[in-house]
Amino acid sequence: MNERCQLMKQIMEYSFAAHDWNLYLNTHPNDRMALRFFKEMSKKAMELKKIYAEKYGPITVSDVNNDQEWTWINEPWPWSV
Amino acid sequence: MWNYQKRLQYPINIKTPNPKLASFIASQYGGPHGEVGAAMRYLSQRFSMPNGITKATLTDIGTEELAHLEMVGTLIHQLTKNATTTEIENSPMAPYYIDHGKGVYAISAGGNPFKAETFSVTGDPIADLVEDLAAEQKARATYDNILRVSDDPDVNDVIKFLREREVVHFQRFGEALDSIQNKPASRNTFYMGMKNK
Repeated sequence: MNERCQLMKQIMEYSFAAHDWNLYLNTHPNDRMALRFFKEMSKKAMELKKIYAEKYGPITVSDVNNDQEWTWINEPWPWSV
Repeated sequence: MWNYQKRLQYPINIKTPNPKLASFIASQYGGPHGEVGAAMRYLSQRFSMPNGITKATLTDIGTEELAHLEMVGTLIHQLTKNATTTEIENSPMAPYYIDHGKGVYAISAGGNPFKAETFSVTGDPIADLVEDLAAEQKARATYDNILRVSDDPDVNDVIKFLREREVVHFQRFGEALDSIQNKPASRNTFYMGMKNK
């Protein structure tokens, strides 16, 4: 697995963890441990997404930071083989 | 509103074309227990929910189902992209191919196009959440059936992830249902009959 895929895998892991705590917190809104885990996972996912966007290209349109070219349209798209 | 992230929720990298399996898995895109029905059902039911727990749960699970729809579409795409015409012709995908080529279309494994009836909105929070509990089990059972007929480890890894999510969603919908069942209208003997006039 190359460096780019490795970083994307980490983003998927932290984002997934944050999302799963999000669903749990919806029905357990006063669980302090879960609140802490959500914050940790969510922060880590955001940091990694920022690194990925700078190195390899945007994950959201607001990541596009290029005065020459609209990089949002570049490959790969998520479903590509 | 929504923002798109240019990534999947879970990695998919299918190496072996398999049009037969693609035509089975397509049912979880647009079949009776598929992801598009789930996403639209939850996102539509939100509007008549009574509390923050149920509104948030339907919003966030409905959103996750959209990500699952993208994953199922990716499976169909990757299982068919490098399949030859002969391989497709000799598989159960042949009739689908005549109408939809290698495109991703919302249809059941039995060939019925997606039906909006699966959205199942009653406007009654108890009825809708009980429907959602059943829907998660039906989707889980469909993924179990797919696992019984699939022997591709790369596909099965993804299907197992999607199957586990149905189990988690069932749990959260159960908790959301508790949040309104345990606070019934004051003089009600039964769970049903919310103050909702």
